[in-house]
Amino acid sequence: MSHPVSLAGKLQRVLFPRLLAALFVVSILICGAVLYFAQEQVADRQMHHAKILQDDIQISLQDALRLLQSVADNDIIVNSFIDYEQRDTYLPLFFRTLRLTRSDAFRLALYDFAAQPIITKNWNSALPDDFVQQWQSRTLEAGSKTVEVTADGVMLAVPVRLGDSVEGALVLYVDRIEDLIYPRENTAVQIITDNDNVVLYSSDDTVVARGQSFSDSQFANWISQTLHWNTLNVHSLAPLSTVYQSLFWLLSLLLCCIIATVLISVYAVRRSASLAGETLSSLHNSIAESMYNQTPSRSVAPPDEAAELALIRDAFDELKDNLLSISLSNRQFANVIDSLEELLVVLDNNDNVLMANRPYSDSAHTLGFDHRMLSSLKNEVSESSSTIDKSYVNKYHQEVTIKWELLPFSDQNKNIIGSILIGNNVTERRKLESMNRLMSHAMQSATVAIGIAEFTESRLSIIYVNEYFTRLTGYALDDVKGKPLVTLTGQQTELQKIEIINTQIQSGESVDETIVLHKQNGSVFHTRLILTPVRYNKTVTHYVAFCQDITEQEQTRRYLIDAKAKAEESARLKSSFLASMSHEVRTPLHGVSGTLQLIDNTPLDERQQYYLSLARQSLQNLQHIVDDILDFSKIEAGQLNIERINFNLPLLIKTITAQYEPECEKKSVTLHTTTAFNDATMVCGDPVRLRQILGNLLSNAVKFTESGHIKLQFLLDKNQHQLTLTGRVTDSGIGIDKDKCESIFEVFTQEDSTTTRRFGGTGLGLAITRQLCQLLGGDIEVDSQKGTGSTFQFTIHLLPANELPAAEAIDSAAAPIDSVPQSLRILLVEDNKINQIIAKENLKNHKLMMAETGEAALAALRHVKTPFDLVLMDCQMPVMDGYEATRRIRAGEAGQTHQTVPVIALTANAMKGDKEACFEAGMTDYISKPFTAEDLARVLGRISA
Amino acid sequence: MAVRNYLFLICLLLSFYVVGSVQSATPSNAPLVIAVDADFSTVAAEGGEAIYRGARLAVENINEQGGLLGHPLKLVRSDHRGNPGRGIANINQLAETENLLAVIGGVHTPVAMAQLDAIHKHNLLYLGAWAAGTPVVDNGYAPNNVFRVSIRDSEAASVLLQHAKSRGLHRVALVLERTGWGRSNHDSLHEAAAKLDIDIVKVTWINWQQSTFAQDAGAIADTNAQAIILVANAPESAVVARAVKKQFPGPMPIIAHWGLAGGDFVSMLSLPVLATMDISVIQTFSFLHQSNPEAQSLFTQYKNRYDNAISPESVPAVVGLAHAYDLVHLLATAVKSAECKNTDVVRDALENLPAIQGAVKRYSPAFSSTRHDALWSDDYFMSRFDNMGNLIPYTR
Repeated sequence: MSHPVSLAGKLQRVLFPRLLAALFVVSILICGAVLYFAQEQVADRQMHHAKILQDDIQISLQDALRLLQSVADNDIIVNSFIDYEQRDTYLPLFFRTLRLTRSDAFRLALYDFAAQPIITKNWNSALPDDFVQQWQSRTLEAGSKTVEVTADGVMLAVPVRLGDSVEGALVLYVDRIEDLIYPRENTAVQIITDNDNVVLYSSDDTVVARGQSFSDSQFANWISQTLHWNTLNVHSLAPLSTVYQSLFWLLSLLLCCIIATVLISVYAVRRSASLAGETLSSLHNSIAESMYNQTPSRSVAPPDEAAELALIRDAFDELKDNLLSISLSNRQFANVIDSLEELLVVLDNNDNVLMANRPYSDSAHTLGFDHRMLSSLKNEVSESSSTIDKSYVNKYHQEVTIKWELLPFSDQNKNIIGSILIGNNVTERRKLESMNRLMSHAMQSATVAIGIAEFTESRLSIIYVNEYFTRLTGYALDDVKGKPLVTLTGQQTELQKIEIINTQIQSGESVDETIVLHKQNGSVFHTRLILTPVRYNKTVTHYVAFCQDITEQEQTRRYLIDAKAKAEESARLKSSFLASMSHEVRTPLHGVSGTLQLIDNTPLDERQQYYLSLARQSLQNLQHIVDDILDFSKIEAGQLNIERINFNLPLLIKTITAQYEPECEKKSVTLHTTTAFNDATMVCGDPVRLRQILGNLLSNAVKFTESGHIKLQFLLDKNQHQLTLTGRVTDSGIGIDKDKCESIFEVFTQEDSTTTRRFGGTGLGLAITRQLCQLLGGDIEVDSQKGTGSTFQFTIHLLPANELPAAEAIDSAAAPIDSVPQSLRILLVEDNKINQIIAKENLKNHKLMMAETGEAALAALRHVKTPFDLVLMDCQMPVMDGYEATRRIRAGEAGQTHQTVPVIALTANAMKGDKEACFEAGMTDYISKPFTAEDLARVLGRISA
Repeated sequence: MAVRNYLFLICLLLSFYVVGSVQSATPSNAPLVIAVDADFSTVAAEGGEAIYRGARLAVENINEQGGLLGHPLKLVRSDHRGNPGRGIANINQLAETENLLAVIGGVHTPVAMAQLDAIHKHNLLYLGAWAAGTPVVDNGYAPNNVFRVSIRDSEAASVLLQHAKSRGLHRVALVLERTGWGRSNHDSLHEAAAKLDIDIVKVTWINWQQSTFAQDAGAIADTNAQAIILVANAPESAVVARAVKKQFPGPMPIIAHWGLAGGDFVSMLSLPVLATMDISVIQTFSFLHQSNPEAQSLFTQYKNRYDNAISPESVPAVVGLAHAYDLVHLLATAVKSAECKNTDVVRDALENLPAIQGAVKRYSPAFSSTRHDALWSDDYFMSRFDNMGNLIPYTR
C-alpha cells in the first residue's frame, strides 16, 4: 500500500497541465485582440485628429467672424459713416490697432453702402471676383455674414448697421488657411482638400504639399480617416507601421503575466489545502474529545479559517451536541413526570403497569394500592365515563379523597394500546367546597341585605347579592350582576353623600353612611349602608356591602324633630305674646300714672287725697304685675341681659331693707339683717337683678308675715376668682306645705288657690326669682313648715370689683337731684295725646313744642328760628319712628344747628336690645315709660350738666 | 435797383429756355416734383416722417388751389437713413428726376453737410427743414442753394446757455455727438458761453450708436458742472440720460438741443425715468405755442389727414411738420413770383419773398440774399416734457 498523496500535491498534479494550456490560448487571443484594437485605435485617433482640425478651423473662423462683427458694431465704425469730415483722423488709427487672426497676414476693408471702400488695411490687390460677388450680395444686400473658404483663400464679411439698416460691410481676407490655425501638435499628417481634391492645407509638406492633388491610392499603406465639412474634406493619415510598434511592449507584459499566474496558482493551491486540512483536524480532535468525556465540546477554530469551513465545522458540532442531549432529555422527561403532583400510572391492555410516577408509587405504598385495585378502579372509571372520587384511609387514619380520571393510551398510529390513570388528591378541595356551601347558605338566609362588589378599574361592580337584598330592593342577582353600586341611587339620594362614599371607596376606606336609596319599583327607603373593603396583598379587590333598612327609624326621628320645633315655636309665640301684651298694658298705665301725678299736684281735700292714694296703690300693684310678666317673658325669650358692673354690696342691701322697714313697722314685724362680708364692700355683678331677687323675697316675707320677725342673713364666700353670695330670708309667716315646696317655684303657682285670693299676686314672682338666681350662677331653695314660717336661701355668683369706678346706675333712684335745669327749649315728639299732656305738665318750666311724627319733628327742627336745647323722642310712632328720625337728625337733615342736639328716647319697650338700638340710632339718653316727673328731671339734669 | 433789373432779365431769358425745353421734353400737365430726402428708418425716423407730412399737407393745399404754374405738385421721398453717403447718392439720383423743383432735406446736419457738394454740382435747391448745423447754410457756396427754416446752431447756443443762466446755472458740461453737428455746436456754444459769462467745465463726445456713457458721466460728475448741454440724436440722448440718472443722486439739469425730439427718445428712456429727470429741449414750434391761423389750419389738416384724436402737444416731431409745411408754401410763393421753375430764378425769388404768414411765424420776409435762415434766436423757445412725454413750452 503506497503512502497517500497530500491534498496539495493532488491538487497541483491535476491543475498544472490545464492551467498552462489555458494560458497559451489566452495569450494568443490577447495578441490578436491587441493588434485589432491597436488598428482601431489608430483609426480612431486619426478621426479624432481630423475632427480637431475641423473644429479648429471652425472655431477660428467663428472667432474671426465674431471679432469682425464686434468691430463692425463698434460705434467708432458706425460714427465714421456719419462723421464724413473727420473720420480720417481716427479711423486709420483704429484700423491699425486691429488684429483679427493668429497671423498678421490678413487683409481688412470697410466698405460703404455702395461697396465703395472707406478704409483698407494690407489691401494690396483686388479680391478674386467670386469673393466680391459673394459678400456684396450676401452681406451688403441681404445683411447676413459671409464665410468663404476656397483654394483662393478665406474670406469673411459682416454687415455694418445703422439702426436697423445695413449701411456698409467689413471684409476680412486671408489667403491661406494656415494663417487662421495654429500648427498641428501631433505626428499624424493632416490635409484639407476641396471638392476637386486639391490640397488647401497640409500639416507636412514633405508628404503632400499645398496646391497638389490628393488621391487615396497614394496612401494605400496608411490608415486614413476623412471628414466632410461644408465643401471641404479634412483628412488625417498615419502609416500602418505605428500599429505594430504597439505590440512589442505587449509581448513582454504577457510573459510576466504568465509567470505570475503560475506562481500565484501554486501558492493558492497550497494555501487552500492547508486551510481545509486545519479545519478537518480540529473537527477530528473535538469528536475524539466528546467521545471520551461524554459531554458536548466545541471544536477549536483554526486561525484564518474560511467562512464555509467554519459553517461546516459548526454544523458538525451542533449535530454531535444534539446526539448527546437526546439522552439527557430522556432523563429530564422522567424527572418531570415524577415532579407532577398528580398520580400517574400507565397500564397496558392487560392492566399491567407499564409506567408509574413517583407520587403514584408513594401513594400506592401508603394507601396500599395493588394490581387488583387498579384493575377494578379502571373498570369503575370507564363505566362512569367521567371522573370519580374515591376515599381511602391512610395509615394515620386520615381520610384521603382522590379523584380519578381515565385516558386512553395510544401509539403513533392512534391504536389504543392501554390506558392512563390520573389521580388527583382532592381532600383539601372537597373540605373547602363544603365550607363554601355553608357560608353561602348563611349569607343567603341572613336577614340583612348583603352584596359583594368587585373593585375593577376604580369602580365597583356587583357580583353577588343575597336573598334579603332581593326582598328589600326588588332586584334579583341577575338584575344587578356586573352593574355598579349606584344602580340603587335615584332622584332622592343625596348627591353629597354619594360623593363622600365614592371618595372613601377610592381611598379604600370603610363606609358607614345613612342614605336614601330607590327600590326597583321606584319607592324609596332609608338605609344604613356599611361597605367593608376586602384586601388581597394590600390592594382592595372587593367591597362587602351591608344594607340595613332604617326607614322606620328615620321616620320616627323626623317626627321627633318636627315635634320639638313645633314646641319651641309655640313657646316663642307665647313669650312674644306676653311681651307685646305687657307693652300694650304699659302705655295706658303710664297715662294713668301720669294723670294721677298731675292730680296730686292740684289742691285736694283729705278725702280726695285718700282716694288718690288708693288709686296709686292699685296702680303700683298693677305695675308690679306687668313688670313681673315682662321679666318672665324676657327670660323665656332669652332676652334678659345680665350686667357686670361694680357696686357697693352693703349699701345695696341697706337701701332695699330700708324700703320695707316702714311696712314692717306698721305690722309690728321686726326686720333684722346680719351680714358677713369680711370687709368687702365693692363687688362686680348685676345689682338690678340682685335687688329684684331680694325685693321679691322681702315683699313675700312681708306679705305673708302678720307678726313676729323677718331675718336677713348674708354671707360672702371667696374662692379663687369668684365670690359666692349666700342670702337667707327667714320669716315667721304662714309657711308652706312640705309637698308644695318645690312647686312654688313653678310658673303661675302659688301655694294654693286660696293664697291668690288672700294675698293677690301673679304667681310669677318666685319663678322669676329662681330663674334670676340661676342666671346669676346660683339657685334658690326653700325650707318651710306650714304655720311656722319659711326660710328662702339663695346663692349667686359675683366677681371681685375691677378697676373701673362704680357705675352711676348702681342706685340712681336714690341719687339726689342737685340742680334743677333752667328753662330749656324742648321738642317733644310723641304721638300719644295723654303722654303729650303728661309731659307738658311735667315740663311746665320749659318751653315745649310738640310733634306727632318723626317727619313733623324734622320739619319743626328745620323751621324753628331759635334752636332747641333738647328733643324728647318717642321710639314707636307711625309714619317715621324715633330711631329713623334721630338718624336723620344726626345726618344733618334737620339743619346743622340740630345735628348735635341731645335726643332723649322715650321708650315703652324695656326689652333687651332697646337701649342699644337707641344709642345706635344716635340718641343721647333714654327714659323708660311710664316715667315720672323725677325721671325726666333727672335726665334733664344730666343733659344740662 | 440795377441788380433787380439784371436778375429780372436773366429770369426772363432762362424762362424762355426752360419753357421751351419743358414743352419739348414733357407733357404740359406733367407734375412738378418736390423731393423729401430725410431719415425715414434709423435714428430720426419720426422727424423724417413729420417733415414728409408737413410737406405733403402743403402740397395738397397747393394742388387744391390748382397747383403751380399750371402743373400739379408731386411729392417724392428718398431715405438717407442718417447716412451721409446714402444722402449724397440720393441727391445724385434725385438730380436725374424730371421737373424737380427742390429737395427738402431733413434731420442730421452731417447728411446735409455731405450733400452740399452734390446739391451745388447739380444746381438743386435744398430747403432745410431740420438740420441746425451753422455751416449747412454758411457753406461757402456762391450762389448758395440752401435755404432753411430750422434752428441755427450759432443762434441755438445762446438760447440754450441763456436758459441755463436764467436758471442760475453758470457751469455747464457739453455732451456733443462726434459729427459735424456736434462740432458746429462745440464752436457756437463756446462763443456764446464767452458772451454770457458761463463756464464750460467739461466737453465730452459721444459716437453714434454708442451704447454706454457711464464713464463720461462719471467724468462730468468729477467736475463742478451744474448742468449738461446735450447735443445728440434720440438714441444717444437716451444713453446719456440713463447714465446721468444713474450717476447723479438728484435730477441733474439737462438742457438739450432738439436732436432728441427727432426720434422716439421718450419710449427709449421710458416715462417713469423721464418723470424723474430735469430735461429741457429747444424747440421752434408747438401747437401750444403758435396760435396763428396758419398754425391752427395746419393742426386741423393734420388731424383730418392723420389722427383725429391727437392733442396739440402730442404731434410727434412737430417742428419738422411745421418747418416743411412753411418751406413748401415759401417755395410755392417763390415759384409763383418767378413764374418758372429754373433754379437760379427761383433762388432769386426766394431771396426776395414778400412777407408771408406761416405756421411758425410771420416771415417778413423769410430770406434775403445774405440770410438764408428764416428763423433766428427770437423764434426759439425752451420746452420740457409733461407726464405723457410730450414737449410743453416753458411759459414766458
